[in-house]
Amino acid sequence: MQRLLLWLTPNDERLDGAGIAARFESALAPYGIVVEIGRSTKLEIDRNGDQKDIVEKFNPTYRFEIDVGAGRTASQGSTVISTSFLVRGVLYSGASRMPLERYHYQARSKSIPRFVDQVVESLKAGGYL
Amino acid sequence: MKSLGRRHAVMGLGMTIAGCTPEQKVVTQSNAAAVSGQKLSRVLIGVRLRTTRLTPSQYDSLLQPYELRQAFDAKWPPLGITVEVVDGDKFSGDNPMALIAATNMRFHANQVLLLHTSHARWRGAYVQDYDIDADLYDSTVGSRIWRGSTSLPDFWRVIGTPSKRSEAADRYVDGLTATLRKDGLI
Repeated sequence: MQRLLLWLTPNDERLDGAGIAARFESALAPYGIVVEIGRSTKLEIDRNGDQKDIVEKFNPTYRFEIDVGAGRTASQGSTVISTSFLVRGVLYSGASRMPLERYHYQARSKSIPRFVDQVVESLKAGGYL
Repeated sequence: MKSLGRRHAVMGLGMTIAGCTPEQKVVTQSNAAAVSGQKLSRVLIGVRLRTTRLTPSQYDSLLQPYELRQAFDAKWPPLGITVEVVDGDKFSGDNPMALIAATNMRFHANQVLLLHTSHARWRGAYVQDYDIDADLYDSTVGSRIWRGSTSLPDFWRVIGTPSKRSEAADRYVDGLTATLRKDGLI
């Protein structure tokens, strides 16, 4: 892995994208890996097309795409008791659409440093770093 | 607006609101890829509720495939749209093409619309409010051409009352229809 395109959710409403990006950059910097951040669009239709420009310009050796799945919030009146949602991460090679690795994480808050750490450990174990 | 030269230009996000009283309003946001001349004509609609782990009572509190079928059957044929609503939970995985292939053997849809529950807020065993996300595919080429998301606020007010649930399903379809019409698909 030399150049990683990190593809995040459209905004930081449900997931702290900026925090995730910073943690990946920090964890991968010792390996000399350059990280470029991209964001999907809200109600995205054509991710291939949306990524075309950045892929051509940055020429990533790998892409890691993070999406948020269906979530649920438990509340009592106007008080939120708990919230959880599924975070999905998929690793691809270059511009390929064939997944190499898939990750799932049940998040309970916007900040998910453990997810990032687990992914980095998995990449290390898989020989990607 | 993204530069042309790609097969489609994204038209951008839009929003419509349908409903009478403030607590009944459903809000639909959408994003459409511009496909000139394409109108909904023969639509297979798959309803998927099980996108998160649900207890039986939680599952039952959401708008059911048969309730949405009744609303679509009442509202879309008068617009010249032939519809078939199927229970998408009977098809496994995230691949919509499996649903298209299985049901299209006899229905031969021009478009496939997949509806699935998105973020839900629960109050104990029943849903307080939730979103229904919609993905529309051109079944000829298998590509997604439109996406929408409808918020159903104060949905808990209709639970347990069949007539109110029916009205809620109608409001949902009305909101969806208004948005699809605004985006040039109806």
